[in-house]
Amino acid sequence: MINKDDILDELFRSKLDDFEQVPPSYVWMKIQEKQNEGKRKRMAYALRMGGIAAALLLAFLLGWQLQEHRDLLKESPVVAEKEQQEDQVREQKQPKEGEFSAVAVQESATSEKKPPSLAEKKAMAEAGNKPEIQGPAKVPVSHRSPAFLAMANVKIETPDVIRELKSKRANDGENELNLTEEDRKIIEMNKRYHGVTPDAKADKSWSIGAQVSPAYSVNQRSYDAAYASNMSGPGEKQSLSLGGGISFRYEAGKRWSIQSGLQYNRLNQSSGSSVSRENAMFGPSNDQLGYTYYNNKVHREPTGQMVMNGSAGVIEIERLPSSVRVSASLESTEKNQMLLTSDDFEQRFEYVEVPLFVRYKLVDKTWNMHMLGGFSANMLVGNEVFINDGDGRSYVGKTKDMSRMNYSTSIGFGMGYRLTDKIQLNIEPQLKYYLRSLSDNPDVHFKPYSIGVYTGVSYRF
Amino acid sequence: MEELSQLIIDCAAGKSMAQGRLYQLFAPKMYGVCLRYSRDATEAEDNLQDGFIKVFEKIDTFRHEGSFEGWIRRIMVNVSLEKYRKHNLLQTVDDISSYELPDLKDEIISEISANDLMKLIRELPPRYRMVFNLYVFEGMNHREIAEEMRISEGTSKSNLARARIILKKQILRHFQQTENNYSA
Repeated sequence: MINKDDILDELFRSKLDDFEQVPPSYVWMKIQEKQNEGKRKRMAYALRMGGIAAALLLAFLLGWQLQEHRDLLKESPVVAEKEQQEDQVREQKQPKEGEFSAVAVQESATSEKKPPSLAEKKAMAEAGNKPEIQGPAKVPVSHRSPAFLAMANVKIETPDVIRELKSKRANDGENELNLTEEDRKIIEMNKRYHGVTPDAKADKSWSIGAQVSPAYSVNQRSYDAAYASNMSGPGEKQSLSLGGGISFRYEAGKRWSIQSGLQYNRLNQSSGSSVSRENAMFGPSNDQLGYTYYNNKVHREPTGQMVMNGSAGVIEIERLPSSVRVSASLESTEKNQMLLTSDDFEQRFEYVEVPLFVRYKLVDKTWNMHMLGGFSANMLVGNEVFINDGDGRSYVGKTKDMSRMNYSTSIGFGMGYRLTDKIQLNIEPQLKYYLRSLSDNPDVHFKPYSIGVYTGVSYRF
Repeated sequence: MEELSQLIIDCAAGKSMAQGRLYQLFAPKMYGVCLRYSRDATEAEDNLQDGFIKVFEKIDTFRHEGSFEGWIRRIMVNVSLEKYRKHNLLQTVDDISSYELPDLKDEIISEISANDLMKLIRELPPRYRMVFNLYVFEGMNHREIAEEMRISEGTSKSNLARARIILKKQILRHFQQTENNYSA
């Protein structure tokens, strides 16, 4: 016997198990949009992570360099003291008869590996003892520091002989001094690590450069739903532009340098015209106008300003070329109109960039390689919208609510070729990512990233 | 079959054309599934969209062993369940008094359309709708339903019984009445 519930279940199962219904076409469009958004997010995430990784690597290299430098500084006081005491050592080698020097007292004391107490020293001085003079090589360096002398509370008087030796050294140069091999090594090491060699002096230098860069920009865009529904066609995401500028670089060491300068960059965003449903139904036909047209929704603000939702922000239209016609919108109020045109709009933004980059030299030969990373302040200096028709480009207006100042982060890898000791050719691929939307309009998120190959020449002072 | 396997491989490689083709193949059927689990068409479209995004994300994990349609369908059901869990955890359901209803006549069974039944299912309270769908269409038992929906087995049984009563009542109300009108 069949259960009553089973009959009901079977009724539903038989009629609905293979039920099919074609979903609306916009579902697939939404899926594609979501997928693209996911890809963009992954790309942005990868760029952000890349930037962080580069910054960490640079910080690590900087820290490592500083640590190495600090280790050397720990050794250097001994070496410095050695130089300071050279005069004292020379004095000991040629003492005058009957003279008594504090250094001699100290040297004598230290030569016995047991520094005398203050009372002992005073007693020795009062007794007029002439301590045995020892060569500098036998004296532990740590016992000859000025700090120790101060502790010993012994008055140091520069004898005439020392003054004479100093004068001789100044006149004849140190080669004529009786420096031991060990002294020379220490002095050499000191020079090397304290950057007093001719080469090291050259490292701490300035250079000035000029470069041009073709930049390939990818514009990441997203919009509020209401904005997007009244927007012109989104246009191409990619654009190619040319930038250039000058740079100043301070080479702070053998490997590290800091760079700034002034750079001009341009970003383009095209807005394709779109076909809206209302005009497809009610607008003038292509035949009436005599050419193929598209249309864009425009709106008149209370001030009379005509505005249109563009891909990179709201376009304030100041004038229109004759090829563009304005039609009343039949869908809504008289404030909403349609622009009829077969041409594309181009929103153009020009920026002057002040970068602050840190460079680390990986290879330093005739061909040199380095990596760089840093931040830039980008000031908006140009904001124009054009329409591209068959005859060329016509000025239309500007984009509203663009941020006057923006910041970007850059990472890059550079190669240079030394033409001469002073002049160098540079090629530097750089990836730049704007840290926030270039538009202040909350409905528009316009955040491009660009890849540029900076090519130029630099001159080193 | 080989064509479908190749399509799956291409989708896993991220080829948009293949994804579009796969969507064309399975979207109507899966939309039907989503409609059964949803309150209205908008919710069904959302579930279908989220389901296919998940399908394309996870398609490289499909092992080409079982039914691919079953795999996609399971994803759609899971998306619907997730959404249900997110929005209906604290939902209370009015008590439906249980009483004997007359049997469904063969004429009604043969005349009632799939769209009519779909409408009735979508009008069920969310929890009843989920339990009914999982039991009747996915073939789950009450223990499995209880696990999926994080309810007790007793609640699952009770929800199924109440779903059946509502559905039967609605069928009788709409179609018995019509039949009576015709005979009058």
